Amino acid sequence: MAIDKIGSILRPFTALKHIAEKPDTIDVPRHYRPAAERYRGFHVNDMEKCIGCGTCAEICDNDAIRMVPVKGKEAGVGKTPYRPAIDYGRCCWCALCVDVCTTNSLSMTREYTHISPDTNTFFILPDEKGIHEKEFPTGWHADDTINFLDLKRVPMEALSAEERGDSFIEIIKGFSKEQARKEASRCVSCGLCTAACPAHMNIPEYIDAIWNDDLTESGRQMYKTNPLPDVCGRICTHACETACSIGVRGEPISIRWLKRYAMDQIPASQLDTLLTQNVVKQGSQSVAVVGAGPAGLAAAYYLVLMGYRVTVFEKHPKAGGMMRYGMPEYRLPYEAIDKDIDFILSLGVELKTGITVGKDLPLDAVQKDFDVVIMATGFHGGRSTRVPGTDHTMVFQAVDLLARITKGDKFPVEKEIVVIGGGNVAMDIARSLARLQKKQYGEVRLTVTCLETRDIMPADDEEIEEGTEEGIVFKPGRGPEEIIIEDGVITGLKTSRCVRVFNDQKMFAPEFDKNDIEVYKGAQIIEAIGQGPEFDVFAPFTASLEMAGRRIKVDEYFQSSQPWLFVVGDIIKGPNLITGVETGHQAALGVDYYLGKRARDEITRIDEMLGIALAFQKDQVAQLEKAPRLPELAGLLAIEKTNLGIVEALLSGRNTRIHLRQELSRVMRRRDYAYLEALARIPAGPGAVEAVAVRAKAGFHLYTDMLFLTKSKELEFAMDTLRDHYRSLAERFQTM
Amino acid sequence: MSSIITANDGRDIMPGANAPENREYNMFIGPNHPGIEGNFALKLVVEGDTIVRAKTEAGFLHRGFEKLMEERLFIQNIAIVARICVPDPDPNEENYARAIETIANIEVPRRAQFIRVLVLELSRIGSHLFTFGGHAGTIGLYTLPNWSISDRDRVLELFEELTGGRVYHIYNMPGGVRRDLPSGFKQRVLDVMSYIEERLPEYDDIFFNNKILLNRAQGIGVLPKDKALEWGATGPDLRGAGFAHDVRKDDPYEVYGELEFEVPTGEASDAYSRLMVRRREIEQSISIVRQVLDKMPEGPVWNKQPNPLKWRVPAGDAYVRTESSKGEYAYYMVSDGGIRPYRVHVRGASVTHGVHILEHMLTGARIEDASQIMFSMDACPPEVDR
Ligand SMILES: Cc1cc2nc3c(=O)[nH]c(=O)nc-3n(C[C@H](O)[C@H](O)[C@H](O)COP(=O)(O)OP(=O)(O)OC[C@H]3O[C@@H](n4cnc5c(N)ncnc54)[C@H](O)[C@@H]3O)c2cc1C
Ligand code: SF4
Ligand code: SF4
Repeated sequence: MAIDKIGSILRPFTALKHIAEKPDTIDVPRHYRPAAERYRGFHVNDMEKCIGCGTCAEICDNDAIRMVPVKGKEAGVGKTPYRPAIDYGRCCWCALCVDVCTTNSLSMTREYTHISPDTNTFFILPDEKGIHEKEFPTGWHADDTINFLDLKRVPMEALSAEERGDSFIEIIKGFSKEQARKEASRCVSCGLCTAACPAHMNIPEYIDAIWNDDLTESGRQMYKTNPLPDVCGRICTHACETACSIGVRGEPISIRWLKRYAMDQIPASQLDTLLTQNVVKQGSQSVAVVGAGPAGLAAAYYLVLMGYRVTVFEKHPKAGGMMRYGMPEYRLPYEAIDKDIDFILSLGVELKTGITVGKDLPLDAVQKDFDVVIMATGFHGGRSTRVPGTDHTMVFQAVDLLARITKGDKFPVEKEIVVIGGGNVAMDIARSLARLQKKQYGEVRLTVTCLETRDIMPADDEEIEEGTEEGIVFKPGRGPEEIIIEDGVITGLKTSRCVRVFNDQKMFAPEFDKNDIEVYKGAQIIEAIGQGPEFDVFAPFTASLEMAGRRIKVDEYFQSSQPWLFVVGDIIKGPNLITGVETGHQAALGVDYYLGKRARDEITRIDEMLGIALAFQKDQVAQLEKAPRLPELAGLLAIEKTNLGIVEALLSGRNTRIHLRQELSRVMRRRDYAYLEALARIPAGPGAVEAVAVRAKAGFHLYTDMLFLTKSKELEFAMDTLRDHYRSLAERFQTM
Repeated sequence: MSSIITANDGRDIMPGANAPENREYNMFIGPNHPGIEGNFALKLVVEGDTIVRAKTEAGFLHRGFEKLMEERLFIQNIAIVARICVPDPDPNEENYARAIETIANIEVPRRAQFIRVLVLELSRIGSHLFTFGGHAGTIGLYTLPNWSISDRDRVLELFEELTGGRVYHIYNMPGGVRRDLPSGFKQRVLDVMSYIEERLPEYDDIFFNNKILLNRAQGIGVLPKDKALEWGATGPDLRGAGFAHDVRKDDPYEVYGELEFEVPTGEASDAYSRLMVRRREIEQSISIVRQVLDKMPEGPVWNKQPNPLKWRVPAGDAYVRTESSKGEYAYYMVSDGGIRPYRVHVRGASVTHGVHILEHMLTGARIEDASQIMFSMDACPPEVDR
């Protein structure tokens, strides 16, 4: 160490040499420089990119983020109307929110300071401009090398094309425990999937339970809104995955396969442990369900839990509807269907098979014996192309053949077959017949042709890819002209090129180039261009039912203009399984509502509660509009109007109500809202401030109570905001 | 000396003050005082100018970090641990990450290990510069604080560029570090290192060789060698007593085992020798930084960890330690396999140095040395309180 000049008194004066130096500091505010390129300054949010998933609020270690409803932002598939608002009284600028953001919409600026005597300015709803409404260079932002989220799926194992060959064995192998837990761990519990799921299943909850290896809990969450989870876990059209926030930058969570995994681990003998409510002792009121497809079965399940006597009439020898008689076994094995259905029946649902209502038993007879009838007859009439030759005996409807395959009926399978149709039903019949051809002839010679070109074919991509692997030849973009018949035997299908399928109004209006002709060889033609309802079953009430276009008119609980008649499933909405389940569930609640046995049922309670909140907010606004213009009250009216908007939004949101209903059972305490009835009027003279304080206190209690009722995120945010507002108001007037 | 006399009329305004039982009085330094290291207080019982008893008063900065950590997800604690010690936050981040890595058996990429050492040494330099300023202030030498605080700013500027934050870096993540070096960063670090290296002789001129410092700091605040061991001193306070103990050497972590550096020690174990140990450590740190920048391999800087919202650390426990600028700094973490730590205990150097040892050392010292002795022990009040 070179400290050799110890002791010189003059030494310190060497510092004087710096006296003329230019200082190294910045002359703020006259000069300004942005902070470093990765500085964690103030938040900016690309409002368009942001989907309002709330993951930022979830990770924030300081509870500095609150999701607030933003005017002009609509809820949609994979989107909420909420955006993050930041409280800089709490934020610690850690930028965990930025790093976890599912869309990379959040980032931070290169600003150092915010100075203001107004504390309100520290609470912001960041947009592209951020806190100072100026364009600032971006600082800390997401970096692809450091990705908090797991964007890649755990791959699903499936049988290879050779293994599939001529067998109807299920193709998808399913997750192992490790794979499932790994996949489940990718979920950020944002709930966008729940909003998108037609049945609003508690997806984040069941995924979380899988991650916790608590499969009973996982199943319990599923059964809250879906009594066919084994089936759904295999063939659901998974609208949830389209909405998944992880899908914005990566691959969505394999929600469907996770559901299948959890249910596969729960043996049939343990299903009753999943019941979320006790089966209520059966009362005297009875409900007939016509059709044992998913919609009818779902209605039966929820009704029997509520104590109704339920009888299901089914024309086929077995229950299941299109699950059993439509979808092929390699996608949906019968064990899965049986497991779900047997459990529903075990709860006391009576099943009468082999009875066709309308033929064996007229509907008016059913009406006489039951308090309510639920129609769930589905789409069973296959549509025809009606081109010349379709009346030939070797022309078949896809749904008919699929049902015959299930039943084990013998029918001719030709060496060369042509299937008309480009949707999933066409894929199901084509791939089923391909298997039968392979078995019978050792090779597949099957052509699928449809109007749509490959890019707009409605079938799932995997279906087309796997079909191709199995030997099917696709000829998309062709329209059938006629079936060629020589000596009474079909030899092929003549087609022309389809120029376009839809007109400028996006209506179905195919146009053809008749000069571009191709013939596909085949001795058997299958039509798979869609199914429709058969309304004869409604006789003798057909004429008295109000219609809405080509469908029967129903309300939100699927009750028709004849109050005793509910209509669910494909014939009213869909067509897909989970929508069928949802309509069945809603109808069950509607039936319960209609029969009036459960006077203060959950539905009414929520409606009532939100109704109370609405009345309260409206009254607040009305009173404040009349109130004297005291400085203490300035600004309050605008806030109350916003609050009114929040409650109105909640009340019109179907999702919120569904959430509330699901969660209400957790509330054991009966609450009454008498305190709202004693609301003070705001007098014109003195005492106005006190009256506002009394009202604030009542509002605080109201929203505290309502907070008890929900674990749903969007409701929690809203209720919390409202409660906080009233708390601070009451505190301001010091009467809490 | 001990009688209280008014200015000129000789009237005894405090009758009985001269009685033997009234010769002591209480004196407070802090919690807000320029001669104190932070929100912290010394309660001195003095007789004349001599301190007969000293009591430290902590708790003004208690934020309950250990408890908070039990309530937060593993990822969320990354944002709060740095706040345990303001001037030298990075050992907290280092310990927190390393504790998790030890329990969960997580590998840290080589490049990240080098970057971590870089961060820790920069933090040490910044912390020492900060302490010099404080120390000088206690004896009325006000040029040095201006210099060393603004020189520390250059280090903070490096942090800003590397981590996005000047003081709290929130940069060390279990599995590595949060971002790679920005482009051109190495050169800027080297420039700042050269600058500080050139500054040190100037510091010598105005401070370390300053007669006032020599007179005031030598022989003051002596920590007897046997007591240093007995009372559990670590870091520069122990090394100032002649013991070359340094976690970086004795129990190397990250890549310290591959680096060459000396462990400076003192002899006298007084305020001056501890100060000089720190001064010489800056030179060592500069050398470490240069080696790190030179040897740092290319490669990833982070081993991907699970979705932070669904991140469990397997059940287990770990005791990890780091050589902080204040002394030996350790975390004992217990995980029960959940999504939050079951318990995190912070073993900082400051309770030992700034509370227990300081109380002993102040006894018998003079009032005007109290602040200096305190600074010479370089405790960190927020870390005492946690
Ligand atoms: C081939 C095919 C594949 C499909 N694949 C999928 C898929 O992968 N995923 C998906 O989500 N959806 C799929 N769907 C659609 C799905 O099957 C239907 O949306 C769903 O089954 C509709 O349920 P539902 O209860 O309304 O009707 P259905 O399932 O059609 O059930 C109606 C039931 O009513 C019975 N019935 C009808 N008339 C009478 C009567 N008069 N008396 C007594 N009983 C009667 C029928 O026998 C049947 O059992 C597919 C459909 C088909 C045809
Ligand atoms: S920067 Fe950190 S503290 Fe601030 S809002 Fe984001 S997550 Fe919360
Ligand atoms: S599955 Fe996707 S959309 Fe659903 S909660 Fe998880 S991350 Fe969000």
